[in-house]
Amino acid sequence: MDLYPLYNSIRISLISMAIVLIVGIFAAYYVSKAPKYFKAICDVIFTLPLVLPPTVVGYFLLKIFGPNHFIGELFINLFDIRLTMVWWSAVFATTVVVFPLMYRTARGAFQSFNNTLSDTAMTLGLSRTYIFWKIRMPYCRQGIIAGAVLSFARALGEYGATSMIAGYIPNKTATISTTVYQLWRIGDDELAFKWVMINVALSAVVLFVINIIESKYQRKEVKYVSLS
Amino acid sequence: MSLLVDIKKKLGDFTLDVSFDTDSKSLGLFGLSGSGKSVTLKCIAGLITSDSGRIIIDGLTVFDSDRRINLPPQKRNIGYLPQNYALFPNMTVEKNILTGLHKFDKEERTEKLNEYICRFDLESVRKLYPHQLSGGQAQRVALARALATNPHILLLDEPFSALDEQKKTDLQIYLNSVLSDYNGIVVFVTHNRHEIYSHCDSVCTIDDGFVDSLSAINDIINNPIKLSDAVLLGVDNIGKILSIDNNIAVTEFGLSFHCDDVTSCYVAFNCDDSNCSDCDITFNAKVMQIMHDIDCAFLILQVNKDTKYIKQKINKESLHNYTINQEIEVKLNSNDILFLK
Repeated sequence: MDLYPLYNSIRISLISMAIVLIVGIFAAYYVSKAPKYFKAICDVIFTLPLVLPPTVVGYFLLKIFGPNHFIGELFINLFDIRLTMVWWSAVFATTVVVFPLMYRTARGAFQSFNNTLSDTAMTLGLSRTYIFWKIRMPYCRQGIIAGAVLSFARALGEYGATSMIAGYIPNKTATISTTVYQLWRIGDDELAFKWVMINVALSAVVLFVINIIESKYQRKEVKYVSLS
Repeated sequence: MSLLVDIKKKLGDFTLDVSFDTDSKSLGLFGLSGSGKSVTLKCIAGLITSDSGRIIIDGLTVFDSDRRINLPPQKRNIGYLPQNYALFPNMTVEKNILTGLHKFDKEERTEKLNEYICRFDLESVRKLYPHQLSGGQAQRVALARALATNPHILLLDEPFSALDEQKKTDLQIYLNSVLSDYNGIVVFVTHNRHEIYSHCDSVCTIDDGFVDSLSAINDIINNPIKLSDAVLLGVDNIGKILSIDNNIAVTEFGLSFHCDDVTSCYVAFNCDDSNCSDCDITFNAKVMQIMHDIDCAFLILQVNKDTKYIKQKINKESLHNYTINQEIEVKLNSNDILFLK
């Protein structure tokens, strides 16, 4: 059995998880410090891909990265690189679709952070960088890791936008989800079922991992006083 | 060792206007909840930037809006102990204290750490995390951490509010002994007047964001002038003056008193059942409730329906003389009535 779709899905998901982790954390951090109106607007814009149908997301992506459109055309003319219908086109799709998940999880984690901790740290003479990495991030660690794993799981399951921007080319752009669709279309039920099971197993493993992370990093509340 | 604070800050509906100047070693900032005590501390610490004014700690100008000086908290050399102690939950007791010692080089750091662990009696908990500590232990760690930076000034924000009564006294004694070794200024924020008496030489009362003076505790006891002075002294009955006409002040208690100072806004008095020969004010009131305390009781009286209640202290032995809804005669001495701004 050709395992290319498995390998392709996993690498696409890992890459988009990595991108979304970095961009999502910084976006969430800076938005959490922003004034009310700006915060609300950013929250809406950054959450939009979560509620839009993946085909709508795919449409927008093609309008930007497609060969006859703005950025797509630029890349073809300048670098002779085609941005769609290659395996990494799927990364654009999964990153956009998955970003809201990471963003909202990180937002929640930062929001729950008690600023008295960073206030006190400042009075002790600690720098903002130290405070961010050694105090704020460890506190928010659980939420952020859970968000990252959730993002990976969602990226793995992406279909609509991926199929529009990367298409289905066996051994080039095929992912698990596009493969299952293709196999169903041509009537190869047996092989389709095998891939379905692989996907279910993979997703179950990922969700187990999330569970373990959440229980391991369960925040132990102090007994003597509430931190809020 | 001096502290000058002269700042204004607007936060939504609330305006802070604080002005005092002291070289007292321990200063209390007394006020009711929501009066702006914590905000004042945060302005001194630099966690909130005041709109205008100056803050000078021990000769160092940390904030001056005219000269555009605004030192960040890191550079103000202050020790800050918030209400919930704010120990870093991801670090052990040792690591928490070490964050205060980052200025020193490695060997000195370890040496000083051991010194603080010993001095604050934390040997048995040095490797534990904050969630494993008791309230008292947590406070000692927070104190050690704050003092480790050798601050010029220590800001304590209601250090005992999180504790119950029994643990509180132990900690008060402990705090006093630690602070006796400390050479800087201590600013103690609380809404509990007993804590002010226990720990401070002078006190600033903050009333709805406003402070304009500082007094020695004895001065307040001998000569209370403001509403907050009466609150600080624990006077039982404090009420508004509704109007003053021809030197007669009508109060919300349903009582009127002769008043010489027509700018007074509040009246305050204590009331008990001792038979005083020079009591020149008599009035009738109805007993609405009887409240018991350990060694005495209080009658909750009302002159009329809708007037503010009056609290009268009585001996336990006299309790049997009183019942609910009874009309009784109450006597006061006009010299004991305080008129306040």
